[in-house]
Amino acid sequence: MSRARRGLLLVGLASGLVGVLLVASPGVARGVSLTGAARTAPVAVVGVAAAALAARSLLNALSGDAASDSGGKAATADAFPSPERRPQYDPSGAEFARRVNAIEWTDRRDAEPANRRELRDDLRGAATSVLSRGDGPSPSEVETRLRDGSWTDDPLASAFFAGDLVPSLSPSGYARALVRGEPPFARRARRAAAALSKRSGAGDVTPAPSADVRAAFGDEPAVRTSRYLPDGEESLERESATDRVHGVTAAALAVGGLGIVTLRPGLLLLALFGITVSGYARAVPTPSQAVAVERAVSDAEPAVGDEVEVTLSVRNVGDATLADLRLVDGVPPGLAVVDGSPKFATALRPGKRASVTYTVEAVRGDHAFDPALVVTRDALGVRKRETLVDTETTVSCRPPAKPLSGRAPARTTTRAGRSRSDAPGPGVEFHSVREYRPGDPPSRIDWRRKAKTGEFSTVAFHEHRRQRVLVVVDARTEAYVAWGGGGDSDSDGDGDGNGEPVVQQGVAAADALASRFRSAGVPVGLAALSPRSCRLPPGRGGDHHRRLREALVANPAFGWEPPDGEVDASAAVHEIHRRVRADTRVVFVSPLSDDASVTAARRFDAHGHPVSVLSPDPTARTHARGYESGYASLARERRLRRLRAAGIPASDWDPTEPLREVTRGGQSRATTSR
Amino acid sequence: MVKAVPRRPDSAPPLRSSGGALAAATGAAVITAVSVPALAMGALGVLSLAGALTFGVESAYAPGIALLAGSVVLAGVLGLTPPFLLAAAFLVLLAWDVGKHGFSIAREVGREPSTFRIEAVHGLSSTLVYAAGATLGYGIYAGVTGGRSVVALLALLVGSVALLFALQARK
Repeated sequence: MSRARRGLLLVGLASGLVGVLLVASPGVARGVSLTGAARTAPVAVVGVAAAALAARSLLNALSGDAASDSGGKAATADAFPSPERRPQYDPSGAEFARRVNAIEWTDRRDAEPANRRELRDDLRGAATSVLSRGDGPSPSEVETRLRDGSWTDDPLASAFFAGDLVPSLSPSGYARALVRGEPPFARRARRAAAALSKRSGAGDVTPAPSADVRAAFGDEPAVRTSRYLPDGEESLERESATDRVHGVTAAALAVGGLGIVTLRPGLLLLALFGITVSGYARAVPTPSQAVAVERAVSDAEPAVGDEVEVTLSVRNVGDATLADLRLVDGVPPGLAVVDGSPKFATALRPGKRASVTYTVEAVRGDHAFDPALVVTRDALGVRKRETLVDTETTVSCRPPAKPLSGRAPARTTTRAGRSRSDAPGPGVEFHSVREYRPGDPPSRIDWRRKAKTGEFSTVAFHEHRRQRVLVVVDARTEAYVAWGGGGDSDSDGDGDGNGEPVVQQGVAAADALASRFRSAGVPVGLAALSPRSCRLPPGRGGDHHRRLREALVANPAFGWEPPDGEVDASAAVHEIHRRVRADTRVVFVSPLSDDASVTAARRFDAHGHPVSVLSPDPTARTHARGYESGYASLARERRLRRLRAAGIPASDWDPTEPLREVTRGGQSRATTSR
Repeated sequence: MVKAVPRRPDSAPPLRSSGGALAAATGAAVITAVSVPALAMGALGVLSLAGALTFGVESAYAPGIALLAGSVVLAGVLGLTPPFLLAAAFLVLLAWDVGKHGFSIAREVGREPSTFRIEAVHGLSSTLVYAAGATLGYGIYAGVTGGRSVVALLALLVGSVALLFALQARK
């Protein structure tokens, strides 16, 4: 307490005592009688002073709030942990929906509304590729159709390409748009995207955003307990006092001041509430955090899909009763709570114990529990202490190895080996016949043809080469797209955020691919295209294979939480390229949710690696599709086509189907595209 | 998962807290209804609180409490006797505290776990603390009305204001 405040406290106490004394024995003050200004002035001065103090107190409280908000952790400071949900994964197309939502009324005032122009250019690209696909009009013809609007019967969709970036509307149309609250340009963009997806043959695509996207934009993100307190490991504890006390004090001062000025004793008395509350807040100690937390799981190594019961018990090991104890268990990001709640609240006398049980569903991965967050408050709730109590528990869920049957894909390295490749060269199996070139070995010249026609020709065979394979999983933030429809398969249908990232499908595919290459005797390695690095150079043997599968389960790069931070795809590819031999074949598993994934695949190609892309489709399970999901599918199709045009075999995989079928299909497509 | 019918938003405080806060607020509005403006303010305040509690809008709670506090002040200015004024203020404070506590429960614990114990402990404690304030006020009122010494009043004034300011718990 500062000296000034201590002085004030003394004055207050002394004056209060004198007052009480005078009230108790009125005779003491009988000699002193005040009249006139001396009687009213002090009253007025104290009243005004009280009002001024109230204002100051209020200002202090407000600026205190502002300071705590700007403390750098604003995003996490307010959001209380909600670990029962999985992290919110963006549904596919969320990026596009964000761009459409970013179109504002005020854009129209800019000389060059850049975001509108970019949006239209992107949609125009999609339109060109969709319209020139089936009946195949030339790009200039498509351009004409876009301009005269004959490509669709939706007037709003056609107006998107035909009209201006800042649509000119009739006054009534403008008024209607104002009532709707959405800029006409954004509305047209949605309609155009929906019309295009309909044209491309996608089923029900509504021009409205899907429920998944609305939920993703509306819901608060799930916060892990370990991220709740600022600075992570540094501070496992935080004390704070609520502003409620300041509010009550300020109000009491103001009311007291008003009472003094208006000479209403009743109002003045109300100031006493302020004294009571402030005094209580001063006197009450910060509640103790002397609790012991224990966690038990019914099964530490469950199979995928098993339900695991978690029991969290807390005991008051201090000497004081905890009037208000709230507990939030640190459920790992991958485990979704299916029954019960990992939060609970109780009052605990010393030595007593309370516990809570909830059920989580096991999914692939090593899931280490975050520390449990214990919040204790005094009885009135003016002071609270938040503590992270670490009790280490890990649930580790490993799916059994399921090698895919079937022939390993025949794309190989340039070195001689045991595998039959698609490259023509020396060998035993017939591949093709071509014109003779000087230098071809005489043994491969087709002498019979020479005798018949007089021309030299060379027979090529399937060359036998050795394979090395690196499976690269795209696990960038952009690849953590929700594997569609996780929300509406729930019983209550409100999409409570237990979606699954499509990265997990990619990880499962990588696991299956690695097992298959292994059974074919091909050295296989693993890498993640992610800010969290994971690299395992190709190798062979049981130990190596076990390490690889372990990495797929336990490495944070393949975790359930999207990584923090960005990664430059080209640089990451270069980094991976430097660590493997240049002739290693790369199988790139990516949902192709953005253009950088295409860049990554092409960079592998540019570095000389034979590349193939396996792309799990994030919209495979989506039923109710909004315009954004339709656009995302269009964009993804274009990316697949771009890859194939660049000579990179790319297979589109619906993760609800077994992988085997697709890689076979991909294989045949790969051979035809070469 | 069985949910309460009719369904309330997740940000709405538990029913017990909401009910308690609303009852206290209604009581305060009834006590302060000495004139039409005060009654109007009180009724508006109660309505605003009811809306905030039902739909789980925490930002609408403080304005409702402010309206109720305004009706208390108005009643005081219009000359409501101190015992009633103290009772009304006591109820407003209780509504404020219980409601805010309910919102914090909704935010931090959610609906599923039972929160009866902490609600009960908190409700009782705040009733006690605020009742202590009201009793203190009533005691002084009863004492001063006998004596009517201006100096005593002044001394109490200076004392209360200085104490209020000095005691503010500020970290």
